[in-house]
Parts: sequence; C-alpha cells; structure tokens
Amino acid sequence: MKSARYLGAAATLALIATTAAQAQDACPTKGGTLTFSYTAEPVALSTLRTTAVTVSLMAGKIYEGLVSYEGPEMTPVPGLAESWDISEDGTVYTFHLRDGVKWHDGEPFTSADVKFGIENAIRPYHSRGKIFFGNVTSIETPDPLTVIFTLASPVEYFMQGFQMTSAPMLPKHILETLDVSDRQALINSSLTSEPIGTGPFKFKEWVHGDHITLTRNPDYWQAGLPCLDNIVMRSIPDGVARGIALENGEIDLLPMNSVLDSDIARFEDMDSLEVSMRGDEGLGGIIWLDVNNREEPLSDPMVRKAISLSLDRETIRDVIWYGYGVPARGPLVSTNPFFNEKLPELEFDLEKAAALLDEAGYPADANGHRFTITQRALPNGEKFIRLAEYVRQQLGKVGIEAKIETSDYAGWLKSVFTDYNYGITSTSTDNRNDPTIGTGRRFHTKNIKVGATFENAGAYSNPEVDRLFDEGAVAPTREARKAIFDEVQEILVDDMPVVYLLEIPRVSVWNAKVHGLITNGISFYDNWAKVYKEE
Amino acid sequence: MTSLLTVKSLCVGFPGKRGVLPAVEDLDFHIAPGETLAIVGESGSGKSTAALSIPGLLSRSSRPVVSGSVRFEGQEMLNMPDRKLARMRGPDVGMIFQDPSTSLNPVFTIGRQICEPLRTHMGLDARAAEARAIELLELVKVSAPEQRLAQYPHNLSGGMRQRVMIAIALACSPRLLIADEPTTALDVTVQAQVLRLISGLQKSLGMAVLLITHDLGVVWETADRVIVMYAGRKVEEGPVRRILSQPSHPYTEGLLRAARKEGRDGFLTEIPGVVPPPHQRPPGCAFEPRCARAIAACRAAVPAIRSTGPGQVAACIRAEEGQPA
Amino acid sequence: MAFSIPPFLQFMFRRVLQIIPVVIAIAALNFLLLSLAPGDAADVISANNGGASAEEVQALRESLGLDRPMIVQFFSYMGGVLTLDLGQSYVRGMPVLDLVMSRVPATLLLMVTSLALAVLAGILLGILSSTRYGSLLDRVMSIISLLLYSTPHFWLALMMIVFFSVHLGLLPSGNIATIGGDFSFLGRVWDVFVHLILPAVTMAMFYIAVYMRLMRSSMLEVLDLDYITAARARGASEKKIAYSHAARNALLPVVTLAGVQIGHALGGSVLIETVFGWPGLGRLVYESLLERDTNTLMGILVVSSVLVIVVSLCIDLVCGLLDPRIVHK
Repeated sequence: MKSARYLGAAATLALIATTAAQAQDACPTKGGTLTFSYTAEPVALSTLRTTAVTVSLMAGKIYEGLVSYEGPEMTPVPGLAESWDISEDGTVYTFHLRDGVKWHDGEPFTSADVKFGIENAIRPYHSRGKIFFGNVTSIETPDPLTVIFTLASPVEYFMQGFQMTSAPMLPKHILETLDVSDRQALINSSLTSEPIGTGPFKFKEWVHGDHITLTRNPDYWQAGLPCLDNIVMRSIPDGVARGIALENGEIDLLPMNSVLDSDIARFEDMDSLEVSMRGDEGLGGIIWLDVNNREEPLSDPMVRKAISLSLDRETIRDVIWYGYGVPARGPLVSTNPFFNEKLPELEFDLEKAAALLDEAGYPADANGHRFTITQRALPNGEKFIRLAEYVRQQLGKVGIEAKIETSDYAGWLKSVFTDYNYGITSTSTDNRNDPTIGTGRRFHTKNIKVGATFENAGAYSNPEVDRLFDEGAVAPTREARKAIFDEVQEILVDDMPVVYLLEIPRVSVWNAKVHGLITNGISFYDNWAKVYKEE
Repeated sequence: MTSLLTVKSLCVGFPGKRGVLPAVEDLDFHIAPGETLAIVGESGSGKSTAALSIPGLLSRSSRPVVSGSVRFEGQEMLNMPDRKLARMRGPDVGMIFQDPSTSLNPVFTIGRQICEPLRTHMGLDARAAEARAIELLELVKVSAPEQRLAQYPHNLSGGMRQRVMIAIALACSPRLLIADEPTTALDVTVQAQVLRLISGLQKSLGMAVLLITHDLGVVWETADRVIVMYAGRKVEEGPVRRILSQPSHPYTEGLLRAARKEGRDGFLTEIPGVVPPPHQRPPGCAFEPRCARAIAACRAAVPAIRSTGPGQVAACIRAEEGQPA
Repeated sequence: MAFSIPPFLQFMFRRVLQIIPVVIAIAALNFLLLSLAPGDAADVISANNGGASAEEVQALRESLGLDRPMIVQFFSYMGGVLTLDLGQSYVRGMPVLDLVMSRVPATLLLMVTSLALAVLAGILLGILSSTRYGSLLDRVMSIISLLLYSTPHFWLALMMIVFFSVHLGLLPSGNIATIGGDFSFLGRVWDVFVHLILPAVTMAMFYIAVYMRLMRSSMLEVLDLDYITAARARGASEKKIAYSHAARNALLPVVTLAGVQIGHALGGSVLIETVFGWPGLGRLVYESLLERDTNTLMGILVVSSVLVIVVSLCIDLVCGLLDPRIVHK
C-alpha cells in the first residue's frame, strides 16, 4: 500500500516539539471559571444520546474526537491521533495515536478504545454513526497506537466524521461493563451522565436544573492546558434573566442564539461585551419555507417560484431578524465550502410573481384570490410567528391565502413530518459542512419516509438531483464533488422545492475578558482548552 | 340615695341609609349598690342596646352614635379611652350575654377564658389564676371544675356554658353585673337554676344587677325595680310590686295582661300590631298606634315622663296617679 | 390535648383513602390528554438530534414503548406506579422517580418559604387592616394588595432582579446556591437563604395580597361575633382581642385556602423558577411538556399529588390545632 502522508512527517514532528511551548503561550492567564448559560440544561453529557445543542456544548469539553479541527472549514489537525495516512484510492485510513493519553479515570487511551467504541456504540447508536461509518468494512488495531479503517468505497468527507460531536472516543473499559446490545441501556448509562473522556475538562458535578460543573483535567495530553480551572453551565431558562446575568457579570457567555434578539443591539454598544456571529460556520444555519410538493398547486415549480418572488428577504432580515443574517441564494449557506458562488440573488418582485401564477394557470378571481394554502410556523419563538405573518401578508398580495396554524414543537413535528398536514412551513436547518451530510437528505427521493424528522418531508423528487447527490457522496476528490454539488444547487434553485430565505449565523455574546473562544466551525462545541479569562 | 350607676339622657343611634336611626332615646335611670334593676321590653325596644352601651360594648362595625351621660361612681364612661374603659370591664362592670353558645370563644379552653380577666386585672400568675378559676366554677356550681378547665366550650351543655359565663363575669367581683337576657337561650328547667344562681350570688357578693329581659316572670322573681322600654324610650319605671300591681302605662298593662293570660309564649297577642321600627316612629307617643285608649293629643308630641305613684313614673298623658287610665 | 389521637388518625386515614381514587382519576385523565396531543417523545428526540430516518424514529418509538396501544401503555404505567416504579424519562434516560425527587426539595423549599411568608405577612397585614377598618391605612393597603394581586409574576420577578440584583447588587439574580462555593454547613445554609430571598419574596407577593384580603374580611366577620364582645366585656385589651381572640378564629379560612392553593402555587412556581433559574419541579414540567416526555410528566403529577395530599393533611392538622371542634365533627 502506497501512502500519501496527509501531513508531512517533518511538519508533524515540529508540531509535537512545539506543543508544550505553544501551550504556555496559549494561556496568557491561567485559572478561573468560565460560566455560561444556554436556553435549557442538557438532557445528557454525551452526544451518544442526542446531538442537541445543549448536549454538544458540554460533551465537547469532556469527550474528544480522534482528530481536532481548525478554522471555519473544519480542517483536520492532529489531536488524539498525531498523524494519519490515507491510501491513494481513498479507502484505507491509518491513524497514529498519541502516546501517553489517559482517560479521566487514569486508564490509558489506546487503539482498542477507538475500535470498540465505534463498532459497539457510535456506529450502531449514534445518530450520525451510519453516515460516517456505514461504509467502513473493518477497523484493525495492529498495535495499541495504530488504528486502520478500511472503507468499501472512498468517502471524501470521511475525515469530517471524527468531530467530537459525531464520533466521541468512548472508553472500552467502561463500555465493556455495559450491555452494548441494548441501545437504551447504553444511552442511559454513566457514559451520558458521569462521563469519562480524554478531554481537557473532567465532569465534576451536575445539580439537575441548576448547574453543571466541569473541572480541569490535570493530566491532559496537551501540557499546560487547559487555561481555565472550571467551566460551569448555569441553567437560566428565562431569556431576560440570562441577559441580566451576562450584563451583571454573573455569567461570561451566552453562546449560539441563547441571547435575546432584543438584547443584541444594546450589548453591541457595550465595551464590556463581545457580540459575534463567528464560530458556527461548520453548522451553517439556514431558514427556509418547507413546501409540501405533494399538494396541488404547490407541486408546480412555477407556484413555488412565485412564492419566492413575493418575499423580500431583506425585509425579513431587517424587520424580523433584527438585522442579522444574509439573504439565502440556495440550499447552502455562502460560508459553506461547497457553496456555488455563481448563484444569483433571489429576486423580490410581486408583479413577476403574479404573472407567474397566471401563467401556471391559477388566475385571480374578482376578489384577487387565487387559492388557499395552510401555513405552519416552526414553534421556536416569536420570530417564526412574525415570519408567518409576513408570509401571509405578502402571499395575500399576489392572491394566495396562507392560513396560519400553530402548535407546539411536538405537534409541529407530527404535522410536518408524519401527517404532512401543511402546505408551507418555516423551518430552520443546518447545512453541516458537507452537502452529503446535511443537505442531501432534505431533497433525495430515498429520504421521503413517513415519520422521518428533518428529512425530505416535502416529497420533492427529481431523479437528476438524486443521481447527483449519490455521485457527490462517493466522488473521490474535493474538486469533483464541488462540481457535482454546484450543479445540484443550480437545479435546486431552479426547481425551488423549498423557498430559501435567510442564512442565519448564530449570535453569541461574551464578556470581553474572555478570549480564545473562536477556534473552528463549531467553536462552541470545541473543547475550549485554550480559552482564557483575564483577571 | 347613693347611686352606683347614673344614666342621663342616653341616646344611641346607628347610621343607616336614611341617616342616623335612633335605637335608644333620652334614657335616664340609676342603680344603687346591691340593687337589682330590670329593663323589660319587646325585641326592638332598645333595652339590649342601652345595656351594651354602658360599658361601651356596642358593635363597632355598626358605628354607633352615643350621647348623654353614663357615670359609674361619678366617673363618666362615655367617650372614655379604650384602654381606661377596658380596665373597668371586669372589676367594675361584669357582663353576661344572652347566648352562652356564641359568647365563649370556641377555640380557647374554658380555663383560659376564666383565667383571662384574673390575669389581666388582678395580676394573678397562671397557677393562682387557675386555683381561683376552680373556686369560681365551684361558686357557679359547675361539677368537676378541675376537668372543665381543659375543656372547650363545645364540650359543655348550654346551662353549663352560661354558668361559665357567669363565673367569668364574676371573676373580678364586679360591683355591677349586667345580665343581658341571661336565660332566654336556655331550657326552661335550667332557666330557673341560673336565675337563682344569679340572685344568690348577688346577695352574697353585694353587687348591683342590671337585668335585661322580656320575661315579666323573671322580673317578678329577681328585680327590685323595673324599667319598661318601648321603641327606644323608657315608658314606665317603678318598684317591681307597684308596677306589676298598678301599672300606669297602657303598654305595661298590656304586657301584664298577656303574661297572665297566655304565659310566656304568646305574651304579645294581647296588644295588636308590632313595635314600629326606628325609621317609622310617629312624632307623638310611639305606642299610640297600638293603644286602645289613644286620643288625638297622643299624636301631638312625645309624652313627658311624670310621676304616677310612689317611686313610679310613666310617659303617658292618660296615666292617672294611683289607678290605670 | 382535648382530643385523643385515635380519632384524629382515623380522620387522617379517611382523608387519604378518599384521595387515592382522585389521584388515579387525575392520572388517567392526564394520561389521556397527553396521548391526545399530537406528536410524541420519539419525534422530539429525533428532531433534537438534527433529524432522523423513519426507521430510526420507529425504532426509538419501539424502544420507548410508545408504539403500544394507549390502553396498554396506561395500564402498564399505572401498574408501575403501584410498585413505586415511575419508569424512565424518555428524554433524559434517568429513572423518573430520581429525576422528580431531585427537583422536589428545591420546589418545596421555595413553595413552603413563600407560602409561609405570605401567610404570615398576609395575616398580620390583614389584622392590621381590619382593626383599622375604613382608615387611610386600610384603604392604602387595599390598593396595594390589589396591585400586587394583578401584577404579573414574571414582570415583578424581573423588576426585583433589576432592582435588588443589578442596581443595588445586594442579592444574586438566580440559582439556588453559589456555584462552586466552598462553605461550612452554616455558610451553605446562609448562601441558600440569600438565593432564596428574591424568588420567595416575588412569589409571596401575590399570595400576601390574597391572604391579606381574606384575613381582613375574615377578621371583620369575627370581630362582630358575640365572643369578641364577651372578651371585651371582661376587659381584654384591643390588641389581645385582635391578635389572639379574633385572629385565631379568623385564621381558619386563610389556612384552609393556603392548603387549597398548594396546587396553585405549584403551577405558579413554573414562571418564578424559570426567571430565577430555580432548579425545581415547575421547570421540569415545562420542559417535559415540550419534549412530550410523558413518563416524566406523569411522574411529576403523581409525586406532586402526593405532595399536595401530604401538605393538605398537614393543613388539616394545623386546622385541628387551631380549632378543636374540627376533629370532633
């Protein structure tokens, strides 16, 4: 097997040599506690149970992935694996593990942990297990520090599968004491409640409904890190109270849209606080209107386009989204590495919309009325309600009556993904950083299944799109995949199976004394080893 | 004659929708030490109101308007500050109420309620107060007094409760006992016992008693003098024997006739009509509409009180000294 | 003691027996209502995971037992309840009993403190108001109580935080204790007490208004009764009459109402707990409802019913002590 080193050997060595020195530099101040708050407390401390934001925020500090990632594009860099080789045909990945890494309970971290955890827990039970490891035919461990993954066919995005949220490394010596044949037993075990990981922070205590405390791992493999002594996630469910606590200095950070929109402008004017939309590029949040393609007249692309033409994305951003966000140009956000730069801005033109509807065969009656559809709104706060009002108002102008029906989250999920009892609905979704993972499933014919959540609920079906997504998944090079996905994006804008609205980066606010939070495309899920807090 | 209590021009009214309604008007009387004075009248005659106004016990929420003068041993009691008045209630003026079942606090033990005045006024400590309470219960002939102290009002019979009320009223050996219909709520058999108890105690303790009742039989048995009230005013006053044998006022006469003829139960059937309520009182004699001997002059003005015999006065223009009009 | 213990215990026992069928009926009704609401925990769990395929959602549903007919689910649930097994939280994976019991102390602390505060303050203010019936003080207090009664909880809560926590910096804005604080036992008690002040006072405000008005009218009624006149007739001071003779009798309706309102307070604590980040049951209800975590919701219901029963038994006990006639009836 002829191997191509992903990183030059020399560079790798240099990296190892400078790790200790860098670690010292990375902490201008050491010690202290970073306290943060989110909208709710997590339901578990491992993404094995769920990858919900609350869980990912905490689990990423305790459990680590096999490699680390840098930058918005999520470039893999050495982590638990010091280096790796990828065979030329892209089917064999060999990882060389760092020596001397220990679990929080003192047991050594070895290749056996990697194999056992992925085979017995991640692949069968983790929500993304099959996406990344479904194609893995074998995992070999020739020695304690080497792991070899063999794939049935090349998966270009395979290296993205080792993020701490998607494939946390789990301790074999604990997994062995559990019944790995029982998913419920596993996801309800100490793995998710009193986690033992390799990360820079160890689980200390969880006072349910009040706070969770993580404390520094003194034996962390990166000498001198972490900078902080403790991380505390404090439960403050009320948005106003959260804002007050941040302003008051009781907490240091409100990550990923846990700040009230109405507070943002005020916080931006305060020198003591930092307001940022960076650090979530790897998620790529976007809102669009899911359209039920089954139903006349929404099954007609011209009608969907007319809806798109009736909506002014800048108004939506400025009036409803407090000025945050970027008008969407297609299914991918513009920060996504696969985004098609050639896509034009989506037009806002009511006359054109009306003309298109006439052309599609839905003339207006004497009252200007063409047809009635049911509109639902994502039950995720005020903005989506106001969005629904705006959509109703705009569609009304072109003769479409969009009746609003509301329900709570569980009710909305059932109506949209199981009962298909909707015409259009606002929805919020994440691109993730690869179209195969985050986007394909929203448009591929094989993902039209009753009861599947956040998959192809609208029943859009286009053999060309299916083929391109299938090819894009297995194309061996980044360039080839980019070309395929560029084409998919053009079709998906032309067919408009959903009505793309806004790219909405998540807004985070933190105390200006805190530094080092933004590290990669999922910064707030990252391990915060180098985050420090000025005195 | 030295007077223990002197009441002069006592007026009591209650504010209502049509202004202040008079309940007691221009009442004068006095009680000598050791004497028993009875006030009789139908309900609505103002007798209870008059009695309650003496120690300032009229219901506060009805916001009574009181004027005139009430002197106890020469001391003016009307408009006396609460605190000072409270010190007189008990040692100077004791009181027994009509309904013993509502006059004892249901949530306190008998012992606590008897001991309360003993500790407040006589400065006894808990043990001494308890010993005295047992004596008092013995005095009012309550059986097993020690056990009673720990009992609650609902554990006792009606007669028993009234004895307890008497014991409380007597606790500080008052010089005047006001008994407001003390037997009305009791069984007939018990009534006599309680009355005998009161008069027996009165003699042995030498207190004056102001007895409020509608029962002429009770008056005959216990009182020295009697006042008859009608529609808020005194209509006749005199020694019991004289009043009962030679009443001057037609109303008294009617009461007596009714009492003799039909006994207690139907004692008002002899006089047609009812007592006029405060806001419908005629400008003249209030009894005139029911009076068989009324003349035109009766309607002109409220008749003045005038002497009709030895120690006897009446408010009737047709009353003749010594014989019924 | 004027009453003997056995009849009292009998009385308590009867009360408990009366309540059991009520709890079962409430549980059944709620189970029905929860199952009628569209969507279930499997939907929510998979959505929180960022979505899932139909097979995965169905597998999840089966593993949670949500695919069984409702009637089977209900009987299996009630069977569990009888053996004190409240099942597992669908979303959190913990045994529901542990989950609920971990929240009970905080809620009890908040509820009992604020209700005790409210009862105490309400009673004292009510007495004060009634003894000065019609005075300026009485009128001012009536207006204040009306304001407190109609002020929304959450608004009051935020104002309390802004004033006492942000402006004055006197009290912490939320949570039950200083996180990571290293305290002696007494230090910890003090720390929790300091954290308790704002939420307890905020919650008490509403009930103070309620109890004050009730106590006032109850006092006015009692002050007109014969035994008060009788107490006055034996020279008891006005103070003693108000605070001892009348208050003790006037208390009964207030204490009874406080007992009835335990359930109400449990509901009202949701908002308070949310604003103050108080780790109690109230918030668990809210979260579990959104997550369709039926097991947890039912568990909270069962446990809080038991709580309400225990508290109402305690109230009965207090009423029995206040009024010796009650046990006798």
